[in-house]
Amino acid sequence: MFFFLSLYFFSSFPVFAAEPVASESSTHPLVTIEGTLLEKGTKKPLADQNVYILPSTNKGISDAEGHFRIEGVPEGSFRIVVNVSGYERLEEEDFQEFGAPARLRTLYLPRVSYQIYETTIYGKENKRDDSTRSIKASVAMKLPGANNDPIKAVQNLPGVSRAAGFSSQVIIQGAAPQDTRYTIDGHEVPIIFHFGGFSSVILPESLDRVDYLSAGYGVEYGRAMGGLVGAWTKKPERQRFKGFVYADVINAGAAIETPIGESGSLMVGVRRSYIGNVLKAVAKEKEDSDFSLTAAPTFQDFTLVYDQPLSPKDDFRFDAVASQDSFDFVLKKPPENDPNLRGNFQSQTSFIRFIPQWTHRHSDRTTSRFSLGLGRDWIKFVLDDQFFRLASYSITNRIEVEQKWSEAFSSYFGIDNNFSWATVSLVLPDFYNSGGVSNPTATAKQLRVNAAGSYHKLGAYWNNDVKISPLWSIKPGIRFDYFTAVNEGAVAPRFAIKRELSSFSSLRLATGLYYQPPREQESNSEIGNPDLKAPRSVHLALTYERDFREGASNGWTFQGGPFARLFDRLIIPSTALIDKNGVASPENYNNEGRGRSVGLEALLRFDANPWNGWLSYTLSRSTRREPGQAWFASPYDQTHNINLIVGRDLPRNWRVAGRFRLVTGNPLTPVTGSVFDSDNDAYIPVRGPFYSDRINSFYQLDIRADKKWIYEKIIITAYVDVQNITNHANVESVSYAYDYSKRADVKGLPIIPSIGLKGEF
Amino acid sequence: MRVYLFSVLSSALLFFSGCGSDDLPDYFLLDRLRVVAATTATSAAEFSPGDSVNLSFHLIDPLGRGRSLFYSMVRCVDPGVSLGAYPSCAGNPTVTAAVTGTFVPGSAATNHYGVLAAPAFTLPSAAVVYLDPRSGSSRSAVDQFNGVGYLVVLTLTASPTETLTTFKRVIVSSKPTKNNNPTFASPALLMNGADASSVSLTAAPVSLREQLSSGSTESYSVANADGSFSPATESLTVSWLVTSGEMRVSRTDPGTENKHTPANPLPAVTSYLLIARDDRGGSTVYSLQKP
Repeated sequence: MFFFLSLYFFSSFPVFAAEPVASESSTHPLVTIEGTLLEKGTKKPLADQNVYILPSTNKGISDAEGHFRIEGVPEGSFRIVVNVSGYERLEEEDFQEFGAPARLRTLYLPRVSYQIYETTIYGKENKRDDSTRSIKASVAMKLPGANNDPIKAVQNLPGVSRAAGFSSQVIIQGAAPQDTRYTIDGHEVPIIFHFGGFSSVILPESLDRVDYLSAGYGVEYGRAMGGLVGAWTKKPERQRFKGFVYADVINAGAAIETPIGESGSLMVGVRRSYIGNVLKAVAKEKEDSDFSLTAAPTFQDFTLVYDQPLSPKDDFRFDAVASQDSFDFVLKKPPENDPNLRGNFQSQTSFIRFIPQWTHRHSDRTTSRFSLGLGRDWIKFVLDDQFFRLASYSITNRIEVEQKWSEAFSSYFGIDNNFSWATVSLVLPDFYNSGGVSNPTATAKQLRVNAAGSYHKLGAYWNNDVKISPLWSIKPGIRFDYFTAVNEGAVAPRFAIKRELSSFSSLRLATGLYYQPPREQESNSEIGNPDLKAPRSVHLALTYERDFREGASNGWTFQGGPFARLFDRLIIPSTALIDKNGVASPENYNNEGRGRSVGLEALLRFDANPWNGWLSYTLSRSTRREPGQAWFASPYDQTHNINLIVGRDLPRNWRVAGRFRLVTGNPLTPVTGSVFDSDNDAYIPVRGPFYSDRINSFYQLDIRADKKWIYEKIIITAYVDVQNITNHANVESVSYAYDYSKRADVKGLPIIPSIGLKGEF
Repeated sequence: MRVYLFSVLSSALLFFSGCGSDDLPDYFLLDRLRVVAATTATSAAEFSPGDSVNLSFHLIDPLGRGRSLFYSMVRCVDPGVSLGAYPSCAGNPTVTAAVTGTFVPGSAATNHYGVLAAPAFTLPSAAVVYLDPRSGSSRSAVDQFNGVGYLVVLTLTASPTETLTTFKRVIVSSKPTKNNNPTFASPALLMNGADASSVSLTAAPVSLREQLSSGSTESYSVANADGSFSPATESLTVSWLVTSGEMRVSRTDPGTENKHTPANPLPAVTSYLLIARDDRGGSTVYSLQKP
């Protein structure tokens, strides 16, 4: 009786692998079915998933490598069935004869959707600095108008001004472009975009996220009155070898990721542009042209990321980033208002950075982080017999000790240094610009400099994260900086306080003092003023956050509030003479500039599969003041800045998205007349009130469409990214007649379609 | 680096300049009242303190129909125009009293091109001319050797709404060998390979090439801050101006071919003005009327 009851029991329920089946099959010989379960396209192993054999109802479970083995399956025809949440159901007919050679089966399971979603759950994000806004690289690359570049996508955030023309500089809350620092894995790099702003200098697929720090950012970073854009690399793929190849209108690239050893992983990628070759071919057709490209504008970059856990307590990572931009042309006909600009023009900018990083966990409460940035920069600019050449070595180092005193109190002690040694040689006109209007270089004094020097910036900080009650937390911190170029030390306290208003809303106030060293040419003893002081800024930001989803994955989130910045000791050009060691010498620069920037910013996001999007709005006023001038609009003042992004996932792995931007036109200084310099055959502009005029407002519509084809072992993606699809002729700047008697609008880029193809394996 | 930004901006501006400047007047076209050059009346382009100087302002008023122009001229030590200071003598402690007068430039036969000969003046003494008006102290020995500027500012008034201002730096130095103005050879201008003065102008485009005298490009010494001297050679530029038609380029290196496409129909008089400049304040003007 018991025997038959046992047989009944085992025939009614699926069993684990290697259990025999019911008596109905007992007359057939039994075979073993073995294989691997992978995600279609990416070949990612699907672990811990049930694989069923029907009608015999055998079952197996895949291991970490996706491998499964099911024994006791009756020979003959059967169906393999796999049903996993988030994936399409797989059901395949198969056959196995008893005694036939064993056959390893590979099952490719397609995802329901291959589009990337970013889901942030309020309160669950444990950000070190609450003023940080992060964009996941995989999401940012799909944004229209960003041309697959997550760093460019930062420009869609509130508080980020639109940079004019070809530039993709990130201008933060009314500060100047040079007030923004760019970092890769926490270490400063000289440029973040290749020339023309087409692309950032690091392979986008190597990034995990891009951080944007604005008013009130913490003490871990400094030397930037505006803010910071930080690119953070990801851990390369550890489970399997993968890679991609792509090509679009501008450039092409490839990368591979592979496990190294038992726990390490490596990613290597390269890119090279060829848009310049197209331009050169077009320019070549015009033999009579005043402009001749002798070498095509080119950019190329190399990215390497190596990640290796050394022990349960130690992690090691090594990044290498190299970038080069170059282009040469012959300008036979100089601009009408500057006869000095003609001849053979060559430009080349290169840099390389090696960034080793080590993290050691002393205990559950103490962690140390050490990293270096070892680099070399080269800049070359030649215009006939005039030139500028710079070569520099740089070492940046960051050391931090995180000490968790208790669940409510953590401290961070850190060092953030930047050492650089540079040699500069130049023969160039002294480029004078006032109110954004430049004097012709033909009228300028010729500078001749051969110099070598060191420019060290030392920084140390102490930050604290204190949860003083379930509803209140504070982050008091202090930073100390020392700038050797001007022999100045600066103490910068910063403070943030946050109140949880509910489980899904909060209010945060952040304030602090921020110093920034003068740029090298500003403090240089020959062409600058070594007696300058470091400009500084006081920040104040109030931020309200509300997650209307209240635990759900779909819905609205809001983040926004007012900000204010006061700037003083701003560096401005000077034509005055000062006494240097008893000799009257040009001052070149002084600290007489002042500024302020106030505004209100808001970011409203919507995620509701298949729709998502966001609306960002900034209302701001940025002003400056110089001796002899009343307060005037800063050149970066953009009263209204609106970005609306909407995207929708469509069936069969299609995605479409659009972006609309509306931005107040930038201020400009009108030119009211001119004076003819008969010796240099050029007219010197007579400037009206600084930035008292404005160009027309900017608006633009971009669209993007992505389509993926998923095959077993590869994914093919085609995309079209059309910027300015309405071909609206936005005014980017103005140009003047040779004698400034007339002015014409300089229009920006027309409709720019970018078509690309990418194969991932 | 500001210079790097300049290069990027220049590149961008150069690119942009092709995207919106078709409506702007061309430099080469003499279609309004203009001062095209200021030259010294002798071969000397550089002087010593106390020297006498005669300046000539070359101007053209093609649409003025021979109107009378009021001029005012002042002089002062250069306030540092090459460093960005506004080119004016206002408030300058070394400014002289204004010299005024009227001038009628040329006739219709020259498209109203004429040369305003400024009254001769004597350069101030070394104590004044080598003074830096910003600091009140004397310029360094290096600056004195390399040359400092003495500004002559000319303001022309054609009507209450039409005023133009120009200036010339008279270079004053302590160097023993002074700079000379470049000079045109004979013939000064070749049109289609022949002496331009003997070629008839038609509506067909013509190739142009100026000829400068062999000694126009001079070598000289530059004093360095450490007391040493470096050799240097002048870099000359030729400006091309015309009263009608289209000039291929406005400025060339010496001996470089240019091209002029005359207006169709040809006007009664086509005036060419060529100005050769060295990069040390020396200049010379050649004018040609066609037919």
